[in-house]
Amino acid sequence: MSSIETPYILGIAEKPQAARRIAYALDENNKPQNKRLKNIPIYICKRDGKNIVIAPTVGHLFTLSSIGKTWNYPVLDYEWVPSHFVNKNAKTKNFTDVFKSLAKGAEDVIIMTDFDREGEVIGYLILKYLVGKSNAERMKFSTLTRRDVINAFDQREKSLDMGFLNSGLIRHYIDWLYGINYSRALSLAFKRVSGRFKTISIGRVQGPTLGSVVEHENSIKFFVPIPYWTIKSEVILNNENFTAVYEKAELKTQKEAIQVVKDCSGLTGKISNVSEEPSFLYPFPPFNLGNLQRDAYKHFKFSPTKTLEIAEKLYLKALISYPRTDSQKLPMTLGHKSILAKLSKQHNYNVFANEIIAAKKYKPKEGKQTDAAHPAIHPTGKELNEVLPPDEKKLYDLIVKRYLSLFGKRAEFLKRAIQILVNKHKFEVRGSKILNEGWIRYYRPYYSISEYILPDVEIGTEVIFNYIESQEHLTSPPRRFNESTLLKYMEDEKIGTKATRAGIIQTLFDRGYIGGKEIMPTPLGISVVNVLQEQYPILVKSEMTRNLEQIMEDVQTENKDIQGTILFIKRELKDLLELFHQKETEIGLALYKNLQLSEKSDIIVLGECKQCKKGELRIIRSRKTRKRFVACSSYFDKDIICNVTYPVPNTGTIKSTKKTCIHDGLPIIEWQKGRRKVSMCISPDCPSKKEGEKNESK
Amino acid sequence: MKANKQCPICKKDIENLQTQYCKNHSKAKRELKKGYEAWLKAYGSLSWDDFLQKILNLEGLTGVFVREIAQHEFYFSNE
Repeated sequence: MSSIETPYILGIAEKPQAARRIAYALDENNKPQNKRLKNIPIYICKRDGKNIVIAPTVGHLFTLSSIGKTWNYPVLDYEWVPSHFVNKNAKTKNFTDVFKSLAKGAEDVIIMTDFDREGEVIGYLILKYLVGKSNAERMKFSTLTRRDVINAFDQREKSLDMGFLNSGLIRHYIDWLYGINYSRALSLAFKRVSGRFKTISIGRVQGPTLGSVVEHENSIKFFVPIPYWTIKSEVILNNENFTAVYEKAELKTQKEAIQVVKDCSGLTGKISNVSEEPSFLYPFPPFNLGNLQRDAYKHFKFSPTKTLEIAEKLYLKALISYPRTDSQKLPMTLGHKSILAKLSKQHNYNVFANEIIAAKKYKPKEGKQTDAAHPAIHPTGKELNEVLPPDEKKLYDLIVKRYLSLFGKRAEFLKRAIQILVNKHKFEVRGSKILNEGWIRYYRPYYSISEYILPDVEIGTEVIFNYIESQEHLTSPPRRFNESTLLKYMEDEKIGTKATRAGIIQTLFDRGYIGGKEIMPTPLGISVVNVLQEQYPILVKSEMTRNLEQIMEDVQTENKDIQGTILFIKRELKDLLELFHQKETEIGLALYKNLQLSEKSDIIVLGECKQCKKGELRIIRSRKTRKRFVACSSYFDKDIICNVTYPVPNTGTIKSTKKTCIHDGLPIIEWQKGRRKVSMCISPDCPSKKEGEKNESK
Repeated sequence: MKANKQCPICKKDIENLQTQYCKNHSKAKRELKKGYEAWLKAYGSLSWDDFLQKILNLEGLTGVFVREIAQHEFYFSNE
């Protein structure tokens, strides 16, 4: 410490990489001094004749904890404590010590964390509990480019953003209050009835999300397919075959379908009309976080959490703007001309960037959604100084191409339809011709179109049908959510926020409530929702969380009094928990019964164990790793302790076939994943697997 | 202690003693009946047994609760 010249301005950055980038941008010579305190990198730079010491945090250094040690509910009193006090694995102690020590020589403090609710809270807590101040100057930036960082420094605010801060703080308080109280209430209700302890956790956003997944699964479980018919036909136009579409897309009865075929078979049609109309396709709006997460899933199968992680890395490398944004706006003040000029120097984008520059059209297409803090996600144009890892490269390419497409002209088509009349039934041959690909050229391969050229024909010409036939179909059940569609559903239902949705989905996976790429609720998830839906529906419906979101928004936008609001919420929660307390036995009993059933349904018995000849082989799932394997039930028998195990595929469904393998006498299971269904012996060393033979069974 | 009435399909306790099945299978039966009406309209004529057989053959499309009730109705019901 003695080597740092005092006094100085202390800068609080959100991450080590951000601290480094800000320091390099702010230092007048682009050469900040780099030191390590307790192995934490800190940067000392000079600007406007002042010393600025920039130190990083790693997210939150403080967490909420209950005052008092009883494990009961309601718990309504809390305090902020250093994260490493509560979580022994948190590697935050050194960061906490560094800020404490740097606070001594600081004459002023500038908060340089990400400009959003969490950034404000992170900075404020360090300021209050480690520096001993209640307010500080605030730098606001959306990219970590030199230009933006210097602008943010020159135009820094005199105070923290109180709207963001209060809204961020109240979010922490509410999530903590609901999470801890309901998790304790559920776990205690279960314990009172069963006598054993099991953590059953639920949060204010997890509950409705899980409720929606279970509800969706139920609509699949109760689905009855219904038949309908379509008419398929092919016509000859100028010696070429074309598919003709019948005037009704679906026919509800078999009788009607048969009648259409009967009316038309053996007859020639006549061209009754040829129509042409221009059609336009405009670029998609700029990326906000939700859109980016969905498109990254669509094109690369990245989970929303992974997309956010990669986007954060690209942001910290100053290659893209801040990704946690709802905005689809790209104001002209961002300097699109300059960004495009920089992109024109990047090998992959130079042709299209130059084309846009030559056209001098610098106003991008924008979407409707806005965000008070940040613009839509866009590239900064910063030169790529390193070879990006493959996943970062993919996401960067998607973001740049989306950005370029916003400056492109609309795509133009000529749509053409040839109407054919046969015995009063109308058929249509449809085609389209691309006149101008416009923005689509810039956005390839993420969007493409093909044309279907129709021949020139005259009205009144007779048309021969190659065939007209009816086809029977069946309606399909709704598709299961994947991470991308669940995220979209949460957005539409206003469950959670842009910054928390991906994390909520991940928590549901981690807690074993949902599983699979095609998301299905687990028996545990179904049990918890079933019980809550019957006994305490408020926790699995989205109304409560939506109302709380509104209250939190009001704190931000209308500057509502945070203390009064939290008091109101505590009072309401206390009443709700009282209601829960009255029903505790019923809830506990229902949980106990449902969980017993779900635990039973988790076990598949395959047959007798060949090794100990006493226990039975069962497919079980490890509570710790959630992986499946076959084990003997005598493992728990003290006299035997049979520890035989066999591996089984971790995904897909497994059924017992009640058959045994001719090679080793072990059970044969039926494994199905998607359309693939395989019968196999459970032994990995079975000769049938080695020889690639089909499994034969006794 | 009085024994609870159980669902013949899943052996879960039946809370509403007026019904034959548990909550899920009662709902599945209602859906199945609604489905039968739609199939009847679509084909013009179709017996309940033929409908059940068709529904049971549609693995992957028919919901699991509906499938279970259809199976039970097909093999055990006297309706």
